[in-house]
Amino acid sequence: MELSQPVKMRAAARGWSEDLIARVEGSPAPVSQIEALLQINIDPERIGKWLDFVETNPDHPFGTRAQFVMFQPAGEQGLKPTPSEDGMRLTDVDIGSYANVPDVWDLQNDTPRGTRPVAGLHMPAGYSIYDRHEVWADGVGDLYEDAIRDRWIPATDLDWANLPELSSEVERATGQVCAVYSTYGIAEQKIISKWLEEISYGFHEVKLFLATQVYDAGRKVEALRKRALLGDGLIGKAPLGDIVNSWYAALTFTDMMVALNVVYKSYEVTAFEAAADWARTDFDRDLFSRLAGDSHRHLEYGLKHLEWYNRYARRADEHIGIFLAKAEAGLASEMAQSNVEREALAVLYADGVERIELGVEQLGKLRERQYRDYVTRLHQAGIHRHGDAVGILPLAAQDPLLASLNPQALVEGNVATRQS
Amino acid sequence: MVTSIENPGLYFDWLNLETDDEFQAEAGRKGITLASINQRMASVEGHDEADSRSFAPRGVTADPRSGAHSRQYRDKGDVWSESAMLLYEEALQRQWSSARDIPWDTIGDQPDDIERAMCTLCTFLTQVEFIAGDVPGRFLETVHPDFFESQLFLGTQLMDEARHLDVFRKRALVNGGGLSPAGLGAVGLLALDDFTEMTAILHLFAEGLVQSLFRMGELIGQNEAEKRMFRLSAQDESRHLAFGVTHTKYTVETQPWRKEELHHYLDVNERVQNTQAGLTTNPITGEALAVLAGGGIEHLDEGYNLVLLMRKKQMNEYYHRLQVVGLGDRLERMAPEMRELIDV
Repeated sequence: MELSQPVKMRAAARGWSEDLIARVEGSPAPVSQIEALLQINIDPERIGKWLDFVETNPDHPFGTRAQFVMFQPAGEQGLKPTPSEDGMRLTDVDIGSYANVPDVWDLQNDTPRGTRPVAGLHMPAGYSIYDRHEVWADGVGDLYEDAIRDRWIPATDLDWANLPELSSEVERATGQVCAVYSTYGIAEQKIISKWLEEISYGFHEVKLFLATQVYDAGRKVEALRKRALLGDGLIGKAPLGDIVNSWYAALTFTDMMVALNVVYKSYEVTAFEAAADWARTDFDRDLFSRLAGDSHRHLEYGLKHLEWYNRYARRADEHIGIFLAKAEAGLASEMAQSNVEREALAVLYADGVERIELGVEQLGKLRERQYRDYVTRLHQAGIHRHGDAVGILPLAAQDPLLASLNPQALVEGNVATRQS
Repeated sequence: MVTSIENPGLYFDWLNLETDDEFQAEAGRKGITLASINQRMASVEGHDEADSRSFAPRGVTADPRSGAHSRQYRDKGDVWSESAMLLYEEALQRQWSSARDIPWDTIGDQPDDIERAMCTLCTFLTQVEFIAGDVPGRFLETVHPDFFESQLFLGTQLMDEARHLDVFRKRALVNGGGLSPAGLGAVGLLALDDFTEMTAILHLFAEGLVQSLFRMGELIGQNEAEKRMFRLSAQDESRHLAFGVTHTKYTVETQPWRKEELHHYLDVNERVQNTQAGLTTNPITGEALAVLAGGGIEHLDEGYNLVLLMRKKQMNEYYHRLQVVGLGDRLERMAPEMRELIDV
């Protein structure tokens, strides 16, 4: 084998002596190996030792047949990230060309962003989301890292040994709230997981963040189930599920995110934060405060994604109103037709059933806050919804039981009895 | 005491559900676990077929008006693992952070060939690890809420795989080596179409091979950061394997007629493994592993021997898992290139 002049010049630049170059030319090593080795800086003495191996074992699988693809240039080299206060975050290592997130990802397989596939080894998969505006949110990498930093463990971080005994109605109501939100958690895990395989690899931060939300939703299911069962050995009644249907009715990722992480999560975050008022024990306040922290990250991703979509997606202004209206309709339908969450919250606010009117009044204030928080959050994300939201949402502030939508109940009332 | 309520707009039907005074659970050393609350009316024992097709989990009374969710297996044998509760709790206890728990400053300067070999291995792992998230993501949806513990466990696997993508990407980028050219990857796993097929191929086989590799991290890791990265990832993979093993075992025991079906999945998969798609058989990662295990290009001979040892270990551990799940008879029909590596 004779090395070309440019290859010899590169070898000389790497410090290879003329003797070493001559030895290479006389060896069974193919040119492709030499060219690959010249991509990296290796002590010439070690090249000599490698030649010893190749010359002695030319037929060894890793002798003359070694391809050394690993030494070919692909991603940017020479970058030296420094960790931030919270350790080595994704945003700390994704610098230089690795920080470039393309508007359209053009690889159909699992090639990571920042490199290229080996020629002939690109097997297309079935991803369907290649446009950044369909999934991206500013700060999504940090939301992923925050989720890991702020992790908690229901089994051991909650003070189970000191769960106070409550009156039977209040205990039942607490369990009922847990039943509602743990059922939503089951569906939340499912719907997000289902979308993961649609998102192409160029937007890995989004996939990673969504994995944390799946994990968080599982923790919500677990924690709330444990809390309910520890109370009186029973969980309660499931919600109707029209909220969940609105997540499943979404035909695009953004549509789903608006339903789940904007409309529903805004409702959930405010409800969980309000546990400071409606929960009857420090244990429950602690539990719902932790859950609110998790849900806040999900909401933030949803809102930031909506902002991004609004800025970059074609016809976003037409789509967003429709997405919001569909999602609000699902929430409103649930609120109108399912009594379990509102009644349980009213009992908790009233600390029992005896003064339920006070609980209903407080529930109205919660509904008002949920509506106000929702339109304010959207406003901050650049979406003006006040006055356009589905009417039941503001109506619930005045008529928290939505009795005006249930005339039969309004006339007949209902009698409930329970043994305790 | 009997409480009566009359109030317009209030139904309180949920308040009438019977409570269970005999339910007993106390916080032990491991706190309140899923196993400790798996009792009485909320228990999975004896619950072999799911009830309604709504999103209401076991023990929660479904609203009869709720829409049906069609994409759910209703037979417990299709999704259940006797260790799901335990593995879920363990996953939560053993979460770790690639940002904070890896001593990145211990990597230091390394020869270019070693650095590039590690970056190549980490590029491959970045590439394939979240396929192991996308795939369970697809099947998580199919777990009926009556068997939700399996769903919760898969949720922890998604989290683990996210962290694996993240930690291996960080390793590739943290020391100047950068990402290497990407090989065939693992998108072929996205073709899996059944929950038990997934556990057989993804858990019993593919993740098993990766876990054997991680457990040799002391050999291929050149510093404490890399060794810890592999050690912690191996711990995660062990849980995934345990889930796969216990699920497949449960399926084989409760649906014995599916044994041939499982064998066929493995027949097809083992043939693929012995091609360019195999971790130790494809030239890109195989050579990188040899450089790392041997300690440089001049030691490729020793490195190659260690890679063969690794492959032998992978195959023996795979066969052990097959024996545990009740597919020990597989040895006779295993691909010859694999069978010859197994110590019988």
